[in-house]
Amino acid sequence: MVNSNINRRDFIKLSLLTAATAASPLSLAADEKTKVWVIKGSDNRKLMQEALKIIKANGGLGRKTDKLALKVNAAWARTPEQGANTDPILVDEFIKGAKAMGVKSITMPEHPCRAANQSFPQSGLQEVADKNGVAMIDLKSRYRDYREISIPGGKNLKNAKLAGEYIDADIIVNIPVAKHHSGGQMSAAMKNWMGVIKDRGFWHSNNLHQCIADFCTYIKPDWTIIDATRCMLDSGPQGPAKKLIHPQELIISKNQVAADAVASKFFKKKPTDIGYLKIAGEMNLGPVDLSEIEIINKNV
Amino acid sequence: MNRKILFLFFIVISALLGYGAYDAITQITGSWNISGPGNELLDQDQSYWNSGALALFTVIACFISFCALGIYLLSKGDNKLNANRRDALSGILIGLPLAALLPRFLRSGKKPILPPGATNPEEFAELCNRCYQCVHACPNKIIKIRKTGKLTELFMAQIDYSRPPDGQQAEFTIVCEEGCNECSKVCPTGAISQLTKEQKAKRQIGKAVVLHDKCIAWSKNEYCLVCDEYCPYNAFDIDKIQTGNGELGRPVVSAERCRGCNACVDACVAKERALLVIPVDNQRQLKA
Repeated sequence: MVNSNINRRDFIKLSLLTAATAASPLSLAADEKTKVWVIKGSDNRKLMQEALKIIKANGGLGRKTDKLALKVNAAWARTPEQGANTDPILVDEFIKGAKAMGVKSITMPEHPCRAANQSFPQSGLQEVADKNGVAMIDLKSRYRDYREISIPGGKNLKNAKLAGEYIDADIIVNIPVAKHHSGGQMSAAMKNWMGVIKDRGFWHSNNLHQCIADFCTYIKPDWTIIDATRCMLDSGPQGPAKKLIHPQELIISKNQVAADAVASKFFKKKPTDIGYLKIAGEMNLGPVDLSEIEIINKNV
Repeated sequence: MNRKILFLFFIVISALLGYGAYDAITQITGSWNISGPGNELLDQDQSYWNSGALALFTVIACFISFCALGIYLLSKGDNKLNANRRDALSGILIGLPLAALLPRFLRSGKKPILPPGATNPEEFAELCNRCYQCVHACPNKIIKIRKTGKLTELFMAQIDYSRPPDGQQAEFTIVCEEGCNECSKVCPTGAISQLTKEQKAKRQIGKAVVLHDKCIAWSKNEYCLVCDEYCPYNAFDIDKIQTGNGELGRPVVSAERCRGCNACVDACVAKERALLVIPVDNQRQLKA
């Protein structure tokens, strides 16, 4: 008989530990850095085409591709050149690409800050949606369709009323615009989710940064594509900005926190200077330290 | 002498009650036909009838009936005014509470905020022919019929930024939008002069004021500035102070940039809204 010095208690402990480690996806990703692609180029259409290629090469949009809920930023009655909303050309190209990848239905629900009849047409996104047969949904006039969700990971934000489209969707993609924001310092991927919930006032009056991070424990888009073709550096979120830069970049990642961390470079800030990114890092929502992120640069 | 005073008292009460009654009635009928949410314009003539004829009718009806009641109460069946102390006391006991209720119906003090393109209330009251095309053209449904105030201003169009009752969310932004000039396109009389979108975006129709006791930043020293975020015209100057948690900004409205569009009030997250738009005496084109 082999004299093993393992007793029953140790054996159970060890087997439980092994099982837990094997089941956790974190353990596999532990040594693999989160990938963020940065594409640079002067043509917005080519930028998005390249982004779609990257998405295809990295697992695509997922296995079930019936319903896609697309979050853009169409909150303000500003023109595409002013940089307060997502660029319509990028969205146009994305919708075409997503359809080619087998997505059957796409919706674009948005809770605008201005009246929808002002902000949707002026942003150019209404036209894009109509042209592609995509429903651009004004969540302001359809406020009865919000559904209550609970956010178990949230600290200040424990529950919220979320637009039903995002609950029913098979795939969620976020295409925000990177811009200055007076309250949040920077608005990009994580901040963009304020446009899918009913009561934004609660966030503003209960520590905005904590609430933004709390909501990101609940909503995890399959892909985040940050539009940094032009960035407002002041007067955000609405503009018009006195200083507008044109980096002509797209930032793509599966992890929205990592994408935001990379986008902070336009505002000459460390990721941890931005309140909600710092909190997201502490809550383990994703890497905020640029050394933990694998940045892949591409030019088109 | 005593009888004459009492009679006069009843006449005054009747007149005031008549005024109060038509106000109440037009508010009810108004919510049926004219400015009710979701109701389309039934018939142009009907809206005229509602506002004009009905008002006149109720005033006269109330006046006559209450005068008659006064005479009846003061006379002792012989059709002569014959008041003693008891009658006088009962008249006062009935009359005074009624008189106390009247101010509720007589909210005449507030000046109106006029649609962009109007000039001042006097001129607008003369030019507005009460067709209410602007009321129906306004996408955000903030132009409503004025039912209080001076007699000359009655039933003209005005901007009403009042919010739905507590617990109800407005279906539209309660904002006169920067890029909208629908009301000035439809006005047939020029009471709202035609403005291009560019001109409209520079038109000052009111001015926002910050109520310091209700504002989170001013009263509690907490970071907010949601008003500044939502202002389309960058009309807020930020008053910066140093607090324990670093720099804090407090909103100050610039009279030279604020158009009175109500975007800040609509967005305010304080428990009771900490901003208010007040009318300007004369609308004007701003430079900034």
